[in-house]
Amino acid sequence: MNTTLTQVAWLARRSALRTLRRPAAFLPMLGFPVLLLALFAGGLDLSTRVPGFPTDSYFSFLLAGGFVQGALVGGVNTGLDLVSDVQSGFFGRLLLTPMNRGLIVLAQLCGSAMLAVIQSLICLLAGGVVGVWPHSLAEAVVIVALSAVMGMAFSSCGAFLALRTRSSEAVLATFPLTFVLLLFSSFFMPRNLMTAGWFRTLASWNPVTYLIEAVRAPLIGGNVAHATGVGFAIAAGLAAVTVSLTVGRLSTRTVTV
Amino acid sequence: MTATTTHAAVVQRTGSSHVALGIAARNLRAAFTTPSLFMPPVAAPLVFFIAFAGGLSVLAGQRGFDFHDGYTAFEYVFVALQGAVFTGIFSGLALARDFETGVARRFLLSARNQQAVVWGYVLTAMGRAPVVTVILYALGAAAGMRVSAGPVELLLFFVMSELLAAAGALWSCGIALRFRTMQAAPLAQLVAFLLVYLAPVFAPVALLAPWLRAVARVNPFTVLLESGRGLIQGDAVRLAASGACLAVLLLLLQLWVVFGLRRARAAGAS
Repeated sequence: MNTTLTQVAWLARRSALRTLRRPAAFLPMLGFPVLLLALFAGGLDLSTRVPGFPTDSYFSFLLAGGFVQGALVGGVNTGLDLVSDVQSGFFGRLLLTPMNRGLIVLAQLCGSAMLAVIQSLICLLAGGVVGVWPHSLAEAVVIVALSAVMGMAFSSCGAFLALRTRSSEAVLATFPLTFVLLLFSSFFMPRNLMTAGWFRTLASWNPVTYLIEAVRAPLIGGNVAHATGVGFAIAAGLAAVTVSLTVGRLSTRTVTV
Repeated sequence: MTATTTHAAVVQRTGSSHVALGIAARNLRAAFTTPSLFMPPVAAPLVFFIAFAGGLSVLAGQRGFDFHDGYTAFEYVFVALQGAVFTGIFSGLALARDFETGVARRFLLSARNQQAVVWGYVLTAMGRAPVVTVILYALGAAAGMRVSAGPVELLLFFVMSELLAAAGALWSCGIALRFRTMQAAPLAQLVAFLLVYLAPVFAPVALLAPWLRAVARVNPFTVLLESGRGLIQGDAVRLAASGACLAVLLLLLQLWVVFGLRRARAAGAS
């Protein structure tokens, strides 16, 4: 048992460290959401004057999107890293070891979850700099935990795609999809203030909306228990489905080194 | 001027236009027949247009929002001009890809006027940009976008987007000449991204946050955006200023390319 845990820990550590050691991979994951937050918050300051807008600081409203965007981009990065492992032969050699294949995937995803935690702490710090904090320490912990589960869910999507296609181009092609998921959600505006009915419907069908709302509730107030409950359920459900798919894909994979 | 030098000048000019048109035809054929090249510059503005116009339309009803053609038209101008800039950048980055395959080096070695090679990529951008502008317009019209502009104002708006596409292509060609690798693509895109988003994207300048308002007031893209929005409403707003901005921008970018060609020559790439 201890040996298994040690193996998982080493692989998770490797997965996180190799991203942290490559600024070209880590900085876009971290810097781009922060840059977008600053630009959009400045441009959409007017939104706080809309009657019924839930806060008087647009930055605090928008900040939640940064956590989800980071997790989405992290998913693409995980896929790219895995493709690189498959192409270099490292992953094939890993599959030849006696280690359980499911645990190999889990270890990769734990690494991604670690990165998501680091990223969420940095986002919390960025919010703190402009005076946006969760209302309690417990709520901050909830946000970080939710980020970890989201990170795991989206990374698993990236891993599944990497194992299915073994092509970095195919994984990279999903990057614009992260923007579509983000922009067609309640990222910019609460759903009750969307005047275009078709857009509100689209946002309501988009699971990213509920993830954003789950992170947002502790930051700006509202029904925190309900929003975070729904957010955790969606993130955990997504993680369960995508991890199962990835492990399933791996169990039928023939090793070629 | 003797007859020989006149003839040489004519040959030189003919050669340059042939080079530019030949490269543009090659690149346009590739752009319109390869989905992976055609889709990104078209799909990204479409997504932005639908998301901004659909999700933020409540802003148009706020006090101080003085744009009478509605929020869809307000955002159309932004995404069309942003689309033109990025179509230009994607077209210019084809030069970086051609450096990686060695084709660009052969182009530069064989052309008498090396600037004609760059103008081939600029013409590609100008051939691709109207497709994006028209698709966005058709989508907006289908969604009921109100446009008060007459044919002359619309034509001027399309000319403006064409010139912005040329500017985008010159900018990324300059990057491509200096770095000669596609790995420099994020640099070309990031600078353009900052330029277009440090402007009144979602609301008029007066309604932006104070720090962004201060930056937007000195950003030349703001002048173009306001002028474009004026044209769509049928008004000539800051037209002379936007014309001057575009002229200066194109002149500076032409110099950027000239020095880029020198850098490429010094590095033995041509």
